Amino acid sequence: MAALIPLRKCCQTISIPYIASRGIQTSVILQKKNVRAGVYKISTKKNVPLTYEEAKAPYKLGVEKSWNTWNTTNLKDEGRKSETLIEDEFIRNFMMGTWHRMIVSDIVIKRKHNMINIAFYVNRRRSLAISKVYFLVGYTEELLSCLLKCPVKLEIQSVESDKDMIFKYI
Amino acid sequence: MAAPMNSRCISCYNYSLSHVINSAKVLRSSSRLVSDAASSRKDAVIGSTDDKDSKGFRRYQMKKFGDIPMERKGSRFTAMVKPIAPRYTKMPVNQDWTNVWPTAQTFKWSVVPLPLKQGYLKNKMEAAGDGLPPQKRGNTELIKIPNFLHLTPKHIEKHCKAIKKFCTEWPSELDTVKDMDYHFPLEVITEDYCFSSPSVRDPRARTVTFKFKASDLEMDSHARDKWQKLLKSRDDKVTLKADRCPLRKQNYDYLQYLLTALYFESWKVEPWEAEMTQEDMLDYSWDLSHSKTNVVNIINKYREKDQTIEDPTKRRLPYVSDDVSPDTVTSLEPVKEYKQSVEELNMTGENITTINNYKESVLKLLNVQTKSNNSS
Repeated sequence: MAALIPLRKCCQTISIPYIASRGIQTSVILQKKNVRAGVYKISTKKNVPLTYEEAKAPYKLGVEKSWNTWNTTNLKDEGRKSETLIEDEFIRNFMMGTWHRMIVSDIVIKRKHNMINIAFYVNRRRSLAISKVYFLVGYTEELLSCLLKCPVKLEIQSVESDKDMIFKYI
Repeated sequence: MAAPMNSRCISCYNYSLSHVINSAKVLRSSSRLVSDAASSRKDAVIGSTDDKDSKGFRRYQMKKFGDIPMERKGSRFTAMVKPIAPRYTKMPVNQDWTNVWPTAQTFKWSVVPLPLKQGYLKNKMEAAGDGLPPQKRGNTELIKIPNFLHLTPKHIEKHCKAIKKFCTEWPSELDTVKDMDYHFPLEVITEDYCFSSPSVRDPRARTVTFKFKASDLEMDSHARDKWQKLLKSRDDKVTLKADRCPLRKQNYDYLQYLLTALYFESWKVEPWEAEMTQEDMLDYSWDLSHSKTNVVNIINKYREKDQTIEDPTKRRLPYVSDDVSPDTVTSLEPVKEYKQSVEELNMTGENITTINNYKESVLKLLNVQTKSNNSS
């Protein structure tokens, strides 16, 4: 109960819209000790491959790696935070299912105006015949455009093997 | 045995595809692919008479492990196809980069002929193991960040060349800011918003602002006074802002109406405005003040006394002629000066200049000769 009193005081002084809108983070996060979420454990043989994205801990975002999603919703006085987040999650699930076994990198979603650009790497040796890839591109773009109500563009690049994506072994 | 089995596999695959395609209304070429496949399925069914029972129904045959022949297994994937060399290896040195990278797009490692690296190493064994940051091939960091490869000087030159035919010369009449203010006294300010969302509309874009100077409007002293009262502001610079309507056009129209209504309303003289006293005025007006009645009374008194004195040099106020009536007193020169000095004292406040002016005008009004005047 005693712990609740400062919280209540805090809620009285800070208005809810202020808490809800976060704005841009411009400084490095210093409170990073004992952070375990999103950090890979070292294996005994140190033979587990990690990509660059996986090798960098979440608190390194904006320092050593950048975001997988680029949009304006988290800027001050901009709306549509939750909708964009849910849509991005849907796009990622959709891509992992549609481009099954082919995607070797993280899916980068960039939004400009009403345009959604989806960029990722596929493993050429594991991908389908080129005509089927063309079909999948059209299928994905058309279906996502209809579902998300805005033009969607895929920007696919290929690498020869999964080893191209390995940053280090842990 | 194998031939009908294969054909059925194809048909099943295309059945599932056709379902998805029809629901999503996708590519025309894909639907053609489906129709081709459907016809081949029909052929397969007709051709495979051995698989039918005595009543003509097709027998159901289960797929066994290893039934798919090797050549089809290979054709599903492109592993056997040799990779094509990246495009940047075939580029001539003197190529036109604007043709390679015409518009904004995500970084492509196979196209950009630069030895780019992006990333941070904790120790030199990471990445390629040569102590250098990850190279451009398969680099996810490079596809995340925005690039400016579509905005090289060559690109800008091309853009300028393309839009030059739409440009006209700047009019020489509008060289200075003063000229612009003179020719375009009204400034209309609207804002557009860029953001990422399926809709390009933003409710904040409806706001319209008008900026102008009240002195540019043709108004007399009454209209100006009423204008200031209607706006509750005495500033010359006026800002009208409207966001009450849902659309920008509506707000613009509303502001135009508001400006017109304000202007003509300030010109109107209502019957009750005759009852205004000094307290109702925004500025100090000597004509409405108690000071004026006092001055008129004093001058009238002296005039009546002066009329009994025949020698004009011995009169108290020599500047007042006999035919001056109470109404025409204010047009006398010393009274005008007095009025000006009193108004100045009230409007700008007390300082040495205004007080001295006031003193001089009072001395002149009452024709008081100071010692210094007598000596000179």
